[in-house]
Order: sequence, then C-alpha cells, then structure tokens
Amino acid sequence: MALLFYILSILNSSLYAETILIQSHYPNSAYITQRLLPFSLSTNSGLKIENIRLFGTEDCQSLTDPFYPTIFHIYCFQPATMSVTAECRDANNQPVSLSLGTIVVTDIGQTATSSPTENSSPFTKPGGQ
Amino acid sequence: MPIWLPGLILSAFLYQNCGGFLANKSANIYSYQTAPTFFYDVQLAKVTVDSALRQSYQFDIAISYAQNPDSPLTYQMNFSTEKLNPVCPRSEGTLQADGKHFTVNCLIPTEDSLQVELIMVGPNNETVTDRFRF
Repeated sequence: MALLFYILSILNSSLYAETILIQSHYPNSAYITQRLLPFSLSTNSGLKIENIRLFGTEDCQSLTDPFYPTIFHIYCFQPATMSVTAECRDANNQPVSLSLGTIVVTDIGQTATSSPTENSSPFTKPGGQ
Repeated sequence: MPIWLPGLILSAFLYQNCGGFLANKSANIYSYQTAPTFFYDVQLAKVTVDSALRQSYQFDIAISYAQNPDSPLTYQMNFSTEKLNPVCPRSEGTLQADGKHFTVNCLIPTEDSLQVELIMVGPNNETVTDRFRF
C-alpha cells in the first residue's frame, strides 16, 4: 500500500521478533506547510513513542498525539526535506528506533493533488445552488 | 548608571520575547481539544478573480480517520456566503485509504467571504462537523 512507509522487524532477541508498521494518515501529496501531518505506529505488542527526531530542518516540529499514544505528528512552518526517526519503547521497555526515511514538505499549490471521484464540483457556475 | 546596563536589560527583554514566541508556535500546532475522531485540514490554496469580479476559491483538503488510517470515510462540503446564502454545489464522496487528499473548487459571483462546512462520517457512523471562514 502506498501509505506504508516502513516495515521493520526488530528486537533481535532470541525470544521473538516484532513487526512495527509506520503509516502516514495522508498521502505524500498532502505534505504541505502549516498542516499537521499524522503518522501511526502499529505493532503486535505494546509500543510507546518517546521522542520523534527530525534531521535536516529547523523549520518543522514534531509531537506525540496527546490522546493517541501511538500517533505522532509533524508540522512544518516552511518547506523542508527531513529524515525522521521515532524513538520508542516496546512492551518489554526496550528502546526501539525506527526510521521513516525522507519526508518532503512543500508549500501549498506545489504538490500534485486530485479531485475526489464522486460528485465533486470543480469550478461551478456562479450562484450554483 | 553603568554603561553596560542598558545592553543587559535589552538582552534580557529580547531573550524573554523569543522564548514566548517559540512557546506560542508550539501551542498552536495541535488544535484538537478532545480526542479527535478525524484528523483533517482545510487550507485555501488560491483565490483568483476574473473580469466579472467572480472569485474562484480552491481548497486543499486532507482527512483521515484517527484510529485507523485505512478506514474509508465519507465527507460532505457545503459552501455559503457570510449571509448564509448557499453558493456552489456541495462536494461529497467516499474517501478510500489512498484518496484522503483532494482539492475542491468554488466560484462565487461577488466579492464576499466564503463559509465552508465540512461534515465527516466515519466507518461507525461517527459524524463530525466543522466550519471554516475564508
């Protein structure tokens, strides 16, 4: 699926391996400045986000969602290209570091978007309804 | 008065103001007051005015079901002027996992502010309505 960023098998202990999925809520085309960009971590066991590190930019901020402990957000004030690493703790309280790779955030209007397929209303007549 | 005192006071004042500015930037990023059912954002991409003084608004919208970004959801957008006169046909549809970013256009006949009502319905019929003014 296009939204999948990264599938990583971690915790190379002799007991088990854990699969963690980092998933963007929005497609890449929605990565524009002044927009909160949500990402979800899903795993087959407990996982808690401790810190999100952004490399290569000073124009963006990250935060863990105050209501959903496995969701974090990135917000950029200016266009930016960055690499993102999530530092987490697994169910056994072991540190886990996950890389999302590179994310590019542009100004609005500089990304390719599509109109929804159903019943959309591109450029309508004045006084439409 | 020592010659360095004004500089010290100015430095302390500027330092405090920078700190406050950064704190405010952080506080404004997350706007949800309670656990959101949807993550969503409506931004005005551009406004153009034609020779008949009609204003064309283009909106850039992203919506996702918070607890599961794979869940499909439906949306409806209604447009009206500041005096609540409806303009532009409503935009509505179902958004699948990969289609949660789209643009919508609205052309209004006169110079007026535009109100946008966004209604989102989740997989369990959870409904959230928000309104924006442009």
